[in-house]
Amino acid sequence: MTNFQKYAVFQLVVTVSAALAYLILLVTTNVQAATAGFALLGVLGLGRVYFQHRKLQVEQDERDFYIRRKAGTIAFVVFWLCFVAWGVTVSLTYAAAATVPIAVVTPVVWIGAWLVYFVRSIAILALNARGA
Amino acid sequence: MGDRSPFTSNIRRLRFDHDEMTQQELAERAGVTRQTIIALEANRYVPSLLLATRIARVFGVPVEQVFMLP
Repeated sequence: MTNFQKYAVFQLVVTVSAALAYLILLVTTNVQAATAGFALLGVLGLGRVYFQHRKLQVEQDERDFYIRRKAGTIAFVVFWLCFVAWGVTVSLTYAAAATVPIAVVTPVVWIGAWLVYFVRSIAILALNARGA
Repeated sequence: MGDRSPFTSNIRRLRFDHDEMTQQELAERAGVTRQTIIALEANRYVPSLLLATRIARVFGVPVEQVFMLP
């Protein structure tokens, strides 16, 4: 496993942890407070520091760059499809009220960011396993 | 680049002909990861012209002896 793959695994672990934290807080608190679970995504920034500190710099060759670019595209496409689906659903649901509750809008920012990192890390691992 | 390879590589045979050079050694000399060499040998990745040239230079043969159309 290359350092690039290890970093993708790290990202996957962090995003899954953030999702679990969100779900636990969603059950125990409320929708607004539950978004605090996504604060765990901040650990993604520490990951890069750790890998550099450990002299495990993410060595990347041209295939890694290709995979990273393709995974980023896949993640954005998934995010965009979900975002459009969310927009249509919300529009239809709250059409009569003509306003959308803030509790419905706020989590989308976090869930969108989470989705991009989550799908991207899975795509990186999948493309690596497939050979790209 | 990256789709199913439209050509085949001769890397495995060339490694064998060069004192059974390891994938790791070839990777280091070509400046890529071992996973990239594995993908190239399995015809699952199309290298850039630069990488193809580097690999050919490691073996001391023309590029068309390393990669060829099926």
